[in-house]
Amino acid sequence: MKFLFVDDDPSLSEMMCLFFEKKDDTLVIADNADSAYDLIKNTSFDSIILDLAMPKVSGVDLIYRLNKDGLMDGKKIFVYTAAPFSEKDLNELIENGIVTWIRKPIPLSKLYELVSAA
Amino acid sequence: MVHFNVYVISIVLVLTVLPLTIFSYVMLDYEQNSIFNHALTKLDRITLLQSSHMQTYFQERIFDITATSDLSMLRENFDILVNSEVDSEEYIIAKDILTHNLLRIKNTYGYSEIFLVTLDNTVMLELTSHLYTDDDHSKLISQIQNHSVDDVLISSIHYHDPFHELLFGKLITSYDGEDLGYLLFELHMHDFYELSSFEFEFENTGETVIGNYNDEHSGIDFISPLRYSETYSIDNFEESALPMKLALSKETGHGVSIDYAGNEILASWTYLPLLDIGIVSKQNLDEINTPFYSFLLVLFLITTALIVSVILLSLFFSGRLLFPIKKLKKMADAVSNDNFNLHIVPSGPSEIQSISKSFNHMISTLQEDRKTIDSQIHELEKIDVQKAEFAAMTSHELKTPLVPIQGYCEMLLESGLIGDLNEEQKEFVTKIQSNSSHLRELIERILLVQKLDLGKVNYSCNPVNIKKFMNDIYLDHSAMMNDKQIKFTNSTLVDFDFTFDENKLKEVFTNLIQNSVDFVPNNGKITIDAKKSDDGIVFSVSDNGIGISKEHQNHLFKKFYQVDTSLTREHDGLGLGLSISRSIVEKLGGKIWISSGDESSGISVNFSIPKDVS
Repeated sequence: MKFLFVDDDPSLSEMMCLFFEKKDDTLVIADNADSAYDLIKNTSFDSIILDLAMPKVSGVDLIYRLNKDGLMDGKKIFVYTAAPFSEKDLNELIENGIVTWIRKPIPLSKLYELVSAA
Repeated sequence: MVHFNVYVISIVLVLTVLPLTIFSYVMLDYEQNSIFNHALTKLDRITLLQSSHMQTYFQERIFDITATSDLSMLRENFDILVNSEVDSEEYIIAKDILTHNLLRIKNTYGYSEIFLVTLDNTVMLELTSHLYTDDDHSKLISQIQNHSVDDVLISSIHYHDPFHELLFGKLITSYDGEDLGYLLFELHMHDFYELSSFEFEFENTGETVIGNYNDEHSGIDFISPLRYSETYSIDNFEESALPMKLALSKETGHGVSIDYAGNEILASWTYLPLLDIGIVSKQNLDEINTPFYSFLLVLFLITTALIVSVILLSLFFSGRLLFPIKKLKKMADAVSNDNFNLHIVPSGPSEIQSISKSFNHMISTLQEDRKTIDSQIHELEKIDVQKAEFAAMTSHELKTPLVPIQGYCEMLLESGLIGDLNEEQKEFVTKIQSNSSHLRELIERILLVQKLDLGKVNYSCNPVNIKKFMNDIYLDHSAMMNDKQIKFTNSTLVDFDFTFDENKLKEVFTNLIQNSVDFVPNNGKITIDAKKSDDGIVFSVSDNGIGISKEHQNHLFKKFYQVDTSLTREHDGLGLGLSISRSIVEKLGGKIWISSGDESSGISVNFSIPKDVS
């Protein structure tokens, strides 16, 4: 399977990358929202795992942008964060099953289970 | 609070009016005495004058009668009348001579009647307008038997309708020494008053009265005309006419008394033995006191004017003093309300002006200080926010590396992923994992505190069923009790819906229950409860742990506060649980407090949430 992992923390991304490799899956890394947008536009992923807190363009903004441009169809997006959200629109997307909230902290095996089941 | 005005007026009144009053009192006393004495002297003089007037008059009459040059003519002709034939030539000539001479005397001295009466009461000559009976003449003669002065017999003054009259009489003897009869003079008192110009009245109430005892009805006869009565004779003076009674008891004196009309009077009295009468000069006390009353009135007016002017002056001067003080007070109040754009124009007395200047100076100093303080506060607030933001950021940064650490540990422990570890290696990696988990929790708590401080925590309140909520709390925390075998009880009895932020209150309960778990001994007791209160709901977490002293109770809700701060303390933790709880409860409009007593009986932490928080 092919996943996209969007996070600005390189050490976390590296660890994730190693984990998914060991699981014989492919994890593509994007360290900002813009490059993630380009990758999603041009490549097909089974699931996208997204950190909401990123510099410049946040994960939330990226979701809105993808949604607006119709790039969300047929894709599973997982937001990966600790606190509940205050954004009403994002909550709506979660309620509609378009976005899934993975609450930090979560064991890697659990995370893998969730994203690979999609 | 007594007004300044009142002080000033009281002081000035005491200083001016009191001496004035004492002075007035002394003056009044003196004035009254002097008026009184003056009046007494005057009345004494009038009495003396009038009595000597009468005395002189009557003595002159007596002398006239005694020393008259016509006495020899009288003796000679009276003898003829008595001893010769009636209607004889001799008799007629003698009667003519007597008539002529006595008529002259009658006219000269104003006698009303003159008679010549023989010893056997035969009227030999009668110069009168009245017709007297024989009976009358015998009475007249008997009346003059009273007393005599220089051989002149004098009657008492008696009332003979319609006049008071007085009789003088003299026994006439012939040259041979034979008693011939009486020569009688009758004087009407009103004629006497006219002739002697006797004054009965003076001023408005002053009066001189003459009186004697009336033998017929044993009362007092007032002979003179009376100012306050038409009748001369007044019978019954039980209570009044005291001076006349004293005079008739032959006393001379003066003093305050009551007159025949019942007036209060000042009187002077004396007895006149010549006529056996009393003379009283008197004047109403009211009239005597008139100058005193005028004096009193003037004094009263002066005092009143003085008091009024003193009050007005005091008000004026204290007003001059108080007006700037009131202005200062207004300014001070305004300054208290942070209004520094003020300036007092100094006015009033120089002392007040100096205060005003100092006040102005104080305001400008305060204004500058306030500016400095405000900017410092602003700076501090900025720094505080920066600090909190820095702490939040730092905490976040501290947390970030923990995620990969935990991830790697997990990868190491997952069998078949990168090769299996031996048991000891597994155990060490598990320790790394659990410690990093703990570290992560601590950091997250600090982060929460920072967020609460910065107000970055969002609340979402929804209706919650209390019974279910409390049951959830119970179930969520039951597992924590296992290690210490704690008896955990939910004693909630109420069942109703209430609106609040469920997640935040769960956080509060977690903190409080965690604290209790830390501080109760093995097999201890923890009870949670919820009760309805007047304005909302009160939750509580009670335990039978080590309790806490009053001294520490006040500080418990402070951040990072630990009862035991020694390095060897038994209980770990950051001391943030109660602080976080308080922040949340207060943000929801509630209160949090500790209600249990001393160190031995455990602790009960309560918190209330009011109804109207949404």
